[in-house]
Amino acid sequence: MIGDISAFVREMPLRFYLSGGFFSNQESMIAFHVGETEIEALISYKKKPIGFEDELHRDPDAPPTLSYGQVYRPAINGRKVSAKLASRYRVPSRCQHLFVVDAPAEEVFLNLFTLERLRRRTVEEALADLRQAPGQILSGWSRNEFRWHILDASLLLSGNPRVGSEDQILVMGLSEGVCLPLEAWSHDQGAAIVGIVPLAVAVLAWCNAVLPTGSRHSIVLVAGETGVVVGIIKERRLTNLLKVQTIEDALANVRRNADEFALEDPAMYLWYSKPPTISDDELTQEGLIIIDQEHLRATLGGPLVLMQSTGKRTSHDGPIPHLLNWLAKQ
Amino acid sequence: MQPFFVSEEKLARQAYRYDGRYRLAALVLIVAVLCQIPFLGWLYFQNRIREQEENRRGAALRQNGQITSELGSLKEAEFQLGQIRAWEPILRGRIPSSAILGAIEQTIHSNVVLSRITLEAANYRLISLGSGSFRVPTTYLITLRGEQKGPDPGIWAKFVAGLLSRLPPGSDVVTSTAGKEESLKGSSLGCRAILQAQANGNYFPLGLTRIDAEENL
Repeated sequence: MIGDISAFVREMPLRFYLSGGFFSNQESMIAFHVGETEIEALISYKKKPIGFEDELHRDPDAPPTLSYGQVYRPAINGRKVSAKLASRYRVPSRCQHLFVVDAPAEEVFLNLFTLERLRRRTVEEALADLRQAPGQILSGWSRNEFRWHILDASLLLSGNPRVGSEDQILVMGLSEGVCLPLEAWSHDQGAAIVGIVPLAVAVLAWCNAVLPTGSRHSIVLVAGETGVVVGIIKERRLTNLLKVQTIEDALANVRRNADEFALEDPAMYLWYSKPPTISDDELTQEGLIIIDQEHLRATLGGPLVLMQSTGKRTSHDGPIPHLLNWLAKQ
Repeated sequence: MQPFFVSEEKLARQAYRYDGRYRLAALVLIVAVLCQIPFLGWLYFQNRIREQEENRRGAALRQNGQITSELGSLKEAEFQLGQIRAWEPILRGRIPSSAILGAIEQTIHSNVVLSRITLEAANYRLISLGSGSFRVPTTYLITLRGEQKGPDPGIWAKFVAGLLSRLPPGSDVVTSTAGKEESLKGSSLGCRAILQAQANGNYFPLGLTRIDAEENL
């Protein structure tokens, strides 16, 4: 009891309280897309997008990129980047951070299981065992420095997953080396963390929520900086997941396993953070629907008008601002 | 949104921001701390006053020490002054015999011849000084013996009264006689008088000089 009181007195966010946190629950949200070397951020308040920073990695106090790894040391001097952004876009300085990380393949674990296959009765039990001894639940897994999370196949990011023993669940693991520097940076900024979401999961969840995956079987290719994740969605539920190196590998794999996937007239979507080496024409010939500016404008009905660091309001039709905006509203 | 990949420690700390109970506890704590501000201010000023008093006390003690050390060097002079002061009643107990002789000389009648003048100390009192004690007289007896030419005894009486008037107040004539003696021839009379004079009387009218300058000591 005394220890709890002492911890509370030591750790209580005094600045947050004194800046109005006692009486207001409204906080601005900064959603970051953290790549290997580049960082973009979308600032929103009361679920409304306000501004977008496409070159935040140039700021000396920017969040650690994934290339920093565990050697990241938070900057000590100077004004905090969160305070700068809050001031620039005239939102409250009390803020929450959401990170979408495009982590290398070896730093992320993504796989579909059923509770029966994991030999666990509930998601909570599976999660507790994963956090305690992942090697016992995932045969052959030897890395302990991972954080774990479980989503149900509908890829809803809010609410607890309710699944039966034979329903598919998405087991996600993210390396401590990715999470810890971001958490330390966020703590240093005096902000709360909403979550650290792997890019592939965020995009698959976005596609499942925005694209017509309920009416048509869908194959979604998520091309990040270091690999491609293929998700097969049937009736708004993720049924298969593949991790490959390139878009070509992904296409070949889908064709090879077409019978196994049992797809009926599927729609193939390609989401990428950076344009791939293959030209759009070639991709279109392969039957892929590229989630680009045109497609986003047609699907969502209009561009995202956001303020830039210069103060100018600009239309943003890129996939990342839309993704971050959607995540910030969840 | 679920708190994806946020550590338990971080989530526990974030509860301080969003849980109403923690916010209430923090509000109570901050209000309680704010209520202590006047007391803390009072404590601060009390501390400053105490420090100032301690500084003053220290300065006074240093000054006291300095004065004590300076007094140490004056001890010898003080001791010597004490000794001089102790001599005061002894010095006051003296009688200026030459001045009395001068007064006798000035008042004596031409028909009177003195054969003996005696000055005797009387009524001693003890005064302690250093390791010993001194007997200091408080009165002196002036005895005059002689003869006068002519049979009128009023000449002797006039001479004695004249001398008494020159002596300090408090002086007195103990005895004064003038009569025929066998040893004397003709009309001469034998005379005798004893006068008592105070040791600490004012003898300055007799022509004494006051010692009031240091260089005259």
